[in-house]
Amino acid sequence: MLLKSLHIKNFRQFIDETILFGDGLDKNVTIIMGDNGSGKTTIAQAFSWCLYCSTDFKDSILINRKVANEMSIGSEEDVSAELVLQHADVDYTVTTTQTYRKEFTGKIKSFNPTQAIRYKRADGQQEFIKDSLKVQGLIRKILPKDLSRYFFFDGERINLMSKEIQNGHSTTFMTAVRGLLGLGAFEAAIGHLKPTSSGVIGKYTAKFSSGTNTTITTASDKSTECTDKIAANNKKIEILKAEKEQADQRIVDLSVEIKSHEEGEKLQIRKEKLAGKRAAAQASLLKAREKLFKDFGASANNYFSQPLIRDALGMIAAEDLEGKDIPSMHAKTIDYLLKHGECICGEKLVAGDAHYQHLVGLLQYLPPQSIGVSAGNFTSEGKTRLSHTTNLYSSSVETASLIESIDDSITSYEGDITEIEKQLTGYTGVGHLQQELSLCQKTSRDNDYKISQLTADNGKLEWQKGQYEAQLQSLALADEKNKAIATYKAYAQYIYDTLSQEYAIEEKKTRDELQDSINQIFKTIYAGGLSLKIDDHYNIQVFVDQFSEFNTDIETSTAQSISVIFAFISGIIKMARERQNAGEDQLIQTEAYPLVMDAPLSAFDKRRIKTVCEILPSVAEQVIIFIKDTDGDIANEYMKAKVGAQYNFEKISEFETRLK
Amino acid sequence: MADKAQKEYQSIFDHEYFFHGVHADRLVALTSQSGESSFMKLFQRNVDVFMVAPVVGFVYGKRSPVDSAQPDRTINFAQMTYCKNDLIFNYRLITLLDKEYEPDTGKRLDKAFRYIGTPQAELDEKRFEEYMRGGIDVLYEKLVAPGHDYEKNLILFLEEFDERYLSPQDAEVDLVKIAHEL
Repeated sequence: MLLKSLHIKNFRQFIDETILFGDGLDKNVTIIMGDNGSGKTTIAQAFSWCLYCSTDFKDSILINRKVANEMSIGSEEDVSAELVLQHADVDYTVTTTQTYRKEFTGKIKSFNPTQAIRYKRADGQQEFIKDSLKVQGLIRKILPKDLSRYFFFDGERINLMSKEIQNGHSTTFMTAVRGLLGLGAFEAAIGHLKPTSSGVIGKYTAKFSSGTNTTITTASDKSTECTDKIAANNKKIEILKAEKEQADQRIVDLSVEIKSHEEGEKLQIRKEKLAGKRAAAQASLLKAREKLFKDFGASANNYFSQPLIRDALGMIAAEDLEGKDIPSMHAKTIDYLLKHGECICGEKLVAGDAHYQHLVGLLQYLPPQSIGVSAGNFTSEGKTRLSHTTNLYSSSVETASLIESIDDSITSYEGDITEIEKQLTGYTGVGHLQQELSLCQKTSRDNDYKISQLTADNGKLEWQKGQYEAQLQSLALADEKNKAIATYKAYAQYIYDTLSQEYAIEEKKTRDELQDSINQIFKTIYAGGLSLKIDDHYNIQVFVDQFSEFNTDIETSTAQSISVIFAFISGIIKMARERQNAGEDQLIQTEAYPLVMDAPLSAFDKRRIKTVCEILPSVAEQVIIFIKDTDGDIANEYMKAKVGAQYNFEKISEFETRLK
Repeated sequence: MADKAQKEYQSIFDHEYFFHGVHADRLVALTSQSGESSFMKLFQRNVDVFMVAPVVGFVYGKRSPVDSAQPDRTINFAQMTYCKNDLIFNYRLITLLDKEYEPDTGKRLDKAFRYIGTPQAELDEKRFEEYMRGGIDVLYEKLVAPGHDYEKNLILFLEEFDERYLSPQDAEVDLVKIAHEL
């Protein structure tokens, strides 16, 4: 496939632009230069939109903003892209058109895009196809969408693409690569002959005439049923294996990632422990501080009174007030006896007599005239207080030093926590990684189990099928018509087996060639002791040459990843081209493909830009490259001789860019 | 008349008590929360200040006149009643030892044990109140004025008091002496 021209109308910031691509043998490079935001990506996306009606834009509205603004209510405008390309010596014009209408609300409504292809058949007859299924079918033959991403590729997605190339693809991708490498014819022939109900062999099996013999019909049906089941199981196994491979790869990645977080996890646990200790210390601190105040509140009175109590008790003791008072009696008792004229003992009391005078004399030893009792009570109270007084000062100092020590511990915990937090900056934990790991491990285990079940099932089916086939064979030979069918079926089976064997050999050979081709290019781009290997599923693995005996895939750097994808794309194109030149009389047929690259050089250093610029035009039939002005100068310098067309973006406004 | 006066006389411990002006303010400061917990107060209640302050005022020899401002802090009657015994004990301590106020020992004993609660104690109570206000000033000066770190102020004040009035050696000797005397 070679790209001839692209005409876009009202497509994003381009109102009406045409690009003619350099497609000559010597001048096969087209350079389109522009600053960021000028529209390089838009042009690159126009290819994808024109061929597959899809883009990577977040905004699904493609119509030029200026055009949309100027639309009157109810009016319609078309966005279109027309790509002229040559494939297998036929010129195709692919047109994609999408109509936009301005609603009465002022909103722009888009209709589904429509596609059409015009081409001239070998007999000179013009063909025009506008049935979308047929259009897509034809485009799929020219360049399958799964593979197109690797020919129309975005430099900014390069790491992701590299990861995909290294870590597994869908079956469609594998088929697409094989198709591109010319193994399509093989695959088509094998597919046509296959022993399932839709294949030639299967159909022969079904054709066995039963006549009146229902045993033949049953054996034939059962055999076909077994074959179909085996094929269906194989498909399931294939899918399960692919899933398992992806899960296993993810398990390896996740394990490495989790291991790298081990230290962080330990730190996190330590931080949590320290935080727990800090919280406990803070609670103790609060209690200790409360204790300081509580003790003061409870003991202050006695504590401050101590020196006074000591002095007061000394003073009272010196006055010798105790021992003379009548205990537990008050002057009011005597007053009562005197007033009632009778003593407790029954003696009559007459004012002035000896008994009366004795009782009056006793008043001197009773309160309030006497203070002996009060002083005695006071002394007892004072002694009690002294004996109960704690040393508030020393206990408070003790509490204060406890507070200080707890405070020091908290400061130390906080220092440690801060230090750990510094080390944990950016750390988000491994919980989500562990979850994903468990999920992947489950998928891997489950798929393993399912695969073994399906394989065992297939074993049984193969045996049953053999039984039915043998039965069928013996019954068929008894009937002339069936004998003929059995013969045809045997031929078909023979061709099928032969082609399958040939295909396996050719496929392996192609894969080896592709590996050599890719390695050759990879080693030119990436000067280092690394090699690439391609496995059965066309996954690429990177190995260190001198340690190849360890046979382990290694983690690639960005530069290596970029080189891997360049090598992969260039390798496929180179091989496709070589096979095309080798002649058309072989089963293996290929077509050359262009490389359309958006900002591919921005991730490279100057030395590698030079290497890439030298290699690409020589391996690809056609190179269309979108680059920044700065990279453009370098690209121009290194690819000058190969540049067939060059365009510059002229940004008129945010909504309009023109090509010069 | 004298009997009636005696009957009608109410000592300062028998009714609600009012604090005025600066002493009311200082009372607030001494009973305010100083940390995150409600236990972190130098004094939990006004009556606690009323109990300790006269002793501190007397020990530090500090008396303070009543502020002329209107009263704005009180000790309610219930609290006063609840603590009456302790308050009277402290009143007796001070009255017994205030030689400056009454040099005669016998008269001090009368004031402490005979006149308490009678109209004859009126002036003695006023003297007691002066010590109480003086004590509030000392407590404020020692515990609040130096800064918000009440814990540190508390320790420094206790240390000072301990050194001045309760140095361990003296205390030990005194207590032994008192024990013998008693």
